[in-house]
Amino acid sequence: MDPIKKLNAGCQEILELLDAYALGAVDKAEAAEVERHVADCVPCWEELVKSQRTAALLALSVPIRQAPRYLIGRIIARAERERAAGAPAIAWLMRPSWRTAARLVGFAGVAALVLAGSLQLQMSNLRGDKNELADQLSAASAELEQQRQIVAVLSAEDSQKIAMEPAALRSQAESVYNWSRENASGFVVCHNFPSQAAGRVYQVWFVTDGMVEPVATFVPQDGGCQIPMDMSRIDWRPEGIGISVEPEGGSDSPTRPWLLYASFGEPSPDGSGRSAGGLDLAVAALGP
Amino acid sequence: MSYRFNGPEICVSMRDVSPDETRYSGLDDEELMQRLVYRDLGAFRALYDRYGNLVYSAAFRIVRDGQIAEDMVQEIFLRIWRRPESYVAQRGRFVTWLTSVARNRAVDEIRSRGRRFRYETASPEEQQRELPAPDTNDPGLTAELSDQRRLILAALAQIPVEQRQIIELAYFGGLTQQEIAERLSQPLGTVKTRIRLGMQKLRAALTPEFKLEER
Repeated sequence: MDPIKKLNAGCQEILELLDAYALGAVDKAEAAEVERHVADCVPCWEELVKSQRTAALLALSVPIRQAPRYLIGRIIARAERERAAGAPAIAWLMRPSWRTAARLVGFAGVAALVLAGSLQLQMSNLRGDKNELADQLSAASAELEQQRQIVAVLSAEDSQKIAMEPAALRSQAESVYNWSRENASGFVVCHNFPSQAAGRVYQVWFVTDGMVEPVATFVPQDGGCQIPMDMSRIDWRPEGIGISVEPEGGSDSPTRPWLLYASFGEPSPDGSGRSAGGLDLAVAALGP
Repeated sequence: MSYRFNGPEICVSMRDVSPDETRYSGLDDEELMQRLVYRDLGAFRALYDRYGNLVYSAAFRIVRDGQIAEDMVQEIFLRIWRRPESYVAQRGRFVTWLTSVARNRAVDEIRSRGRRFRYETASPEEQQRELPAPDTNDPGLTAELSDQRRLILAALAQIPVEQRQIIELAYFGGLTQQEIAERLSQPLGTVKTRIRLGMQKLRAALTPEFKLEER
C-alpha cells in the first residue's frame, strides 16, 4: 500500500520527497524542508528510515574489486602514528592558534564593551520605570556575565575548541564547543540551527561509555546561540558532546538522533570514561 | 604459501593466521567499532580486512578512478578511526552505514570536480559482471556479501529500466532530480514519479530479505 494513503494530508508533500532525499537527489532547500519536517513528525521519520535503508543497500550492489594491497599498510601506519602521538588527529581543531585566540579575545572584548555601553544607555533611558529598569538591568547583567565568561574562556592560555559534525549529509547547522580547564568553564556556539516547532528545544549532552548527561537546553535566536555550560553535576570525563532536539524542558536521555556530535577522541586513563574523584573532577568534566 | 605433495597432485593454499586475526574474527562489527573508542589498532585492521575492498569498490564505482578511490578509502577509514562514535548501531547495520559513508563521500568528490566527472549509468553487463574474487581473510563474510549483492541485483532487475536508470543516476551519479530531468530531457514530474515508484518496488522486493520495515 502506498504509505502516503496512511498518513495525513499535511505530510504528503514531504513523503513525496523522502525517496529522492534518501538517494541524495534533492536540492538544499528541499533537504532542509525534509529535515525540518521529520524532526517533528514520527510517521514521516519512520518512512524516511525505510527509504534510507533501501537506498543504502544500493551500495552493496557494486562489483567487488581488489583494493591495492599496499593501501592497508598506509592506513594502519597513519593510524598508528596518530595513536602514538597520544591524541586524535582532530587535535588541530582543539588548539587555536595564537592569532586566532587573540582575534577571538579582541572580538569578545569589544562585544563586552559594546554591551556595557548599551547597558548604560538603557539605564539612563529607563529611569522613570524602576521595575522595568530592574528587570532589564538583571537581564543585561546576566548577559554581561555570560560575555565575561566567554571572554575568560577564549583568553585563557589553555583555551580549546572542537567543531561538532552534523549527522545529516546536507545539514547546514554548525556548532563549536569551547572550553578552558583553568577557568573551569565552557560554552557552545551555534549557527544555522533551524527553528523548531513549539514545544521543542535543542539539548546539549555530554557522552561517555554509553552514558549521557544532559547539560543545557536552548532555543536559538535567528539560528544562532551562545550557551554557557553548567557542568557542576558531571563528575566524569566526557568522551563526546552531542546536540539533539527534545521536548521543551529537556529529556533525561536523548529521544532523537544526534543533530551534531563531536568526539574528544581519547578515553580516560582507566578506560572507564570516569575520573577518580577529588578536585580534578569538575575540571575534567570540562573537556579532555 | 603453497605446499605440493608427491603422489596424487594436490595443491593446498595456506595463509598464516596471526593470533590477532583469530581473536578479532569472533567479534561482530559493532564490537569492533566499540574497541576503536579505546584505540584498538587490531580491531581497526579487522574492520579494514572485512570491508576495505567493499569501500574501495563503492568509491570506484562512483569516481571511476583508482587513485581517487584509494584516497577515499584512506580518508574514510581514518575518519572511522578518529570518530568511531559517528556510527550509531541503533540506526542500522554497520556495513550499510559504511558503504553509505563511502557513497556520500564519493558523490561529494564528483560534485566538487564538476559535471565532466559525473557518472554514466553502468550497462547491465557491467553491473552484473563478476570480477576476480579479491583476497579475503573471511570467506564466510565474502560469501554473505556476494549473496546480498545477487539479491539486490535481482531486485533491481525487476524494476522497469527507466526507473532503474534514474535511481542509479541519483545514487551513483550524485545528480539531483532536476539535473536528471535535464540530462534525460524528461519532465521533472516524470523523474520524481519514477524515483518514487522505483524505490517503492525496490523496497518491496528487498524487505523480505533485509527486513527494511523493522524498527
